[in-house]
Amino acid sequence: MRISATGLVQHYGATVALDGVALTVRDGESIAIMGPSGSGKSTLLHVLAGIIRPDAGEVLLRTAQGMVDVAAMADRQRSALRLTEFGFVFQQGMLIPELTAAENVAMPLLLTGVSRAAAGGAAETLLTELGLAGLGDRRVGQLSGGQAQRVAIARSKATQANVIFADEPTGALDSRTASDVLGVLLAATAGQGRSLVVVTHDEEVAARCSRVVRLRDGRIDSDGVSL
Amino acid sequence: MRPHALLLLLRPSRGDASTVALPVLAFAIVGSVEYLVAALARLFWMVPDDGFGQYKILAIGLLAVLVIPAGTLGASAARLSARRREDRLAVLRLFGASAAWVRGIAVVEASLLAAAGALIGVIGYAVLAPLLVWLPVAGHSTAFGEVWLPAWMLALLALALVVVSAVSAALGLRRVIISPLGVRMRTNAPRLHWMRLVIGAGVLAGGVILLRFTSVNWGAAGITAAIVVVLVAVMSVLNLVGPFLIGLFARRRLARARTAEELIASRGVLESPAAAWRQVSGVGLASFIAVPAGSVLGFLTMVENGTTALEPEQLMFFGDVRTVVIAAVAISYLLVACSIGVTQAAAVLERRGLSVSLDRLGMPLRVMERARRLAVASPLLIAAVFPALAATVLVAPVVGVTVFTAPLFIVTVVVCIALGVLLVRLGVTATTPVLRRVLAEPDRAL
Repeated sequence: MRISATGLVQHYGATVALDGVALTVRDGESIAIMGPSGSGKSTLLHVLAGIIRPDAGEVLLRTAQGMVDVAAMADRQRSALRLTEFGFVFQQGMLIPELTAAENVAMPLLLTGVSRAAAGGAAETLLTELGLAGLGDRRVGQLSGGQAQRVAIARSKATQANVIFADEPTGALDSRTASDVLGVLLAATAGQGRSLVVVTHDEEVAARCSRVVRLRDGRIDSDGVSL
Repeated sequence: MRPHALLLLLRPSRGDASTVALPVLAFAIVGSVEYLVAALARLFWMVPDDGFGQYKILAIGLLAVLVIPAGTLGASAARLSARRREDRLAVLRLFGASAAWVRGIAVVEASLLAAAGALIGVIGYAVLAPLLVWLPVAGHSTAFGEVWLPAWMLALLALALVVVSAVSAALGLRRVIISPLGVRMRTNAPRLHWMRLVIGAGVLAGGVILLRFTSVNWGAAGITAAIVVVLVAVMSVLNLVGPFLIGLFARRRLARARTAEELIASRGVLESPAAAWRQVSGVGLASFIAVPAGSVLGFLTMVENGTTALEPEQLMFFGDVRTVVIAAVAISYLLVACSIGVTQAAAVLERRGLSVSLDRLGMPLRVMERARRLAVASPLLIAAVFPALAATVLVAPVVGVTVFTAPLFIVTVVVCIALGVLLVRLGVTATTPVLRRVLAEPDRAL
């Protein structure tokens, strides 16, 4: 078990986004989180990833140093955790527009203290692995949607993160590119023994994940193996 | 595009409060300062002149020295109001709105905010103007009634502020109008042309030559015109050359960047050297003013302490010159402080998407803060040193004399520049809560 979350509660004013959610994430598992808009999917992902702290509940994460409660950590500790333990792939890639593709991939490595030369070399290798050889000098805006998502996937691999969080990673792509990007994402995560938690509206994306969790009104409606 | 679309776009949306309040506050400060400076200049203008019009030269000189810093702050505020809508306007262009419509929306909005600020500025003026009573002009104390500008002059100054903001907003949106996709996708990293440097050098050389040829024979009007033309022209080209130099240094720094914060800072500056210059241009203008101001103060001290006995009228006039110089420096620094507050807060708000991306990636707040400080450091150095050098070239004879006869002048200049640098650093630190707020509500930023 990589993550074990229990009793998660999150309010936004009078709105209850999460209402006692419990979820476990195992190594090598790919979990699709589905549900109607406003059901709490993105909030759950943000809580699991330590982006926001829940009003109640705990998120236990297994790290090399032992179990830690992400929900109880201070802001600075959660930042450090996101850098080393988690990777992120979002709808718009959440790439930094003024940096080149290679610099985006190198960024997490630079933040962990790797030299620029070494980080740049590693970034070029990762981009080549993901079929983006020769595009390292391009800025994000000069890449297609599919290429930008591959850069985001390469970035999530840079620090060898154990868990990758993805929020509608194929939402802005055409169906062929979406299928292609999802294949790359699954191969780079679950295919290598790492966990993938993906928020999606797309049943085709869910069908390719090993498990589907459906939320409704901040509660888990169903949790089962993908058919 | 129908008129109700315009109204929809002009309506402030949720979360927009700070981006509306900032430009209005900046316009209000510019308005107050503009009215106060005009009132002070009017006091000097009304002194009965029995010489060669020296008090009228002082009045116009004061206005000329401060018109560019005030205009720059006004323009920053207008750009801020336009930039906050930039993405939405770019989307509108993608949907087929004409360039005239987009420009119209930006200009109307900036003008409304400027008008609101100009009105609030009248209150600031009403509160501060009575302090001018303490200021002796031509040896006489100022009467309470003399510090108030006529209503038509206030209206004219407010209109000038609205016009500056409208023009700046229209110019600030050139990129949206030329390339809607460029702004939407942020693909363009502008490269500034080296011709800016040539134009800057040419204007500076022209200014030096004009001042060398200026003589008492030209009369009050001729001397005033020469000084005003040179000051305004050189201060204007600072805004042309500054971004070019900043871009040049940022490219060199990018090549040497070793850490994440150095890389982000250099790339951020290169993304828009003009925006980086705007963040520190107040220091540039204050630094430009500090050199002649410091040398004039030094020169006056030298003459007063000299062996030649001075007439009481001359001593009185020197006192008035000192008043104007100190007022110019003080007000320019007030504008600097305001401009720094506005531009730093604007920079955080404009780059909120980047901050949220970096936060999710796991970049600690202290590293983000270091990146912000680094992004300002080189532009700040350029803004502090290059205008001071330009001013030194321009008034080299006076500087040359005072360096040897009144070395305190150098201390004045260094203190002025150091103060500007300190203000910018304080501006970065003071806007950390804005960044914290952006990170606390990341979803709103995306």
